[in-house]
Amino acid sequence: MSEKKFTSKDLLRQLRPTPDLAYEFSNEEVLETAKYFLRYVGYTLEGREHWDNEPVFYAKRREGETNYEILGLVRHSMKEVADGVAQLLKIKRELGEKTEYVIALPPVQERHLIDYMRADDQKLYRDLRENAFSIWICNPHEKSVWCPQGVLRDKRFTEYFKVKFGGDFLGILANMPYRGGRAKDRKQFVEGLME
Amino acid sequence: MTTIGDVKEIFARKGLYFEHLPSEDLIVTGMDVVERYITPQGNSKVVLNIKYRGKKGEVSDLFLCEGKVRRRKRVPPPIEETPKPLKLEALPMRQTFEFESEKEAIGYVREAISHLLRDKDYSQGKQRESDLYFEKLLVGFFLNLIPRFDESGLQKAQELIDLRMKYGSENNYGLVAPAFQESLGISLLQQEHWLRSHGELLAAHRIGVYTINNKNPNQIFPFTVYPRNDRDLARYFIQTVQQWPYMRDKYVEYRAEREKQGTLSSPR
Repeated sequence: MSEKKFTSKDLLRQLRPTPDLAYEFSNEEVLETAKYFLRYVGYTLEGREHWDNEPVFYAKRREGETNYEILGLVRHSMKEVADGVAQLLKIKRELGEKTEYVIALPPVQERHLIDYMRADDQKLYRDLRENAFSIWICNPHEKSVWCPQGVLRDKRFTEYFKVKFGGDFLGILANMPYRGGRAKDRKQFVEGLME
Repeated sequence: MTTIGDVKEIFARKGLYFEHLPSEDLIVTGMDVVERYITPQGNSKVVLNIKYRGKKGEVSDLFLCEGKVRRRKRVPPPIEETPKPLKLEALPMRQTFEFESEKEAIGYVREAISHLLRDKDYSQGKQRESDLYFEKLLVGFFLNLIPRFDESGLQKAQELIDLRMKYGSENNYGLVAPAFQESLGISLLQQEHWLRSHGELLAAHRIGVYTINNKNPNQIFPFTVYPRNDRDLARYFIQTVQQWPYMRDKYVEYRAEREKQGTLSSPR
């Protein structure tokens, strides 16, 4: 047996050949979970279920004087998120900024989540951030949702997400060992993870 | 008299090594830490100013030593004593780990959890959708009581998830059961398997799972989640959550002893 210490880097290296998805679920199951989750949080689903023949979920919630609107679509894996971003941009041009936008996915491997967001000089990560699009990881078995990317204006969601932290998964990863540390070290850390 | 060799040895014991040092038999007259730096990988680098008596009198020079400092983490031992009630009298202990019937177990957990919540200023409210309902400052606590962790227990948990959908995340939700359910037909292994299988789901929906020590109704162990906003209650659970492994060990010992003796009597 090797005496070399098993590090988190080794663990991540071993995770690399894993499939895209942690669990296999159909798009319909994910869509149903997202709708269930929205009802769970207190949203009312609106009749609009398609947009350019694309199945979407669209819901509203009113709290005092504030109206919250959310629209989302389902993609099967991280490979399809870029296409989802393009589709959401089209919809956003029509609906505007007041609506929040979500791409719902089945449970993908965190490894792939990071890899795809970082590919092409973090293109996907930047696209998601610049357009304020969120990613939801929906688990139909647990009927739970986690938001690793994006922050929603409706803070009520925080109480219902499976994990309270989130919003900027890459950022959190980069900050983990040295909160408030140096930017160079953070970059080094993320680069190190990706070796 | 401290020599350079002693300094080298003391630092080596801590995991820090010098690259260049003068002869080991030279006598050290003073030493200061000039700079200390811990790398992101956890390695320590220390610059020392060492004064020593050389051949031409006292010499002062800077030396770098580095390595990974082995630090022992001091974890305070958990407090074994059951947290005392703040306002009410403690409930009387039972003599045995066993329950005669489900009814007895349910009655016991009902009394124990009600006592804890009353002690923390909750008042019982009327509500038919859960087995018990308490309220404090308009925040509700919905509780379902189960004799054991099985399919019907999961059903009761599902009912709490539905209640959360109806009444929102502002309220608390909990599933309460006896800590040791062997006399009711579920072994400790099965109990733990149930918690492993469904714990994540219940935590995702913020459903707390609480178990009551079969002998001591004043000791309630939290699993999955517990209310953090209520400081008194949170403080109680922070203490009891650490006591669970000890209680579990005690029970396993008791069970082994009982099997050895082939009797059903419970130790004091």
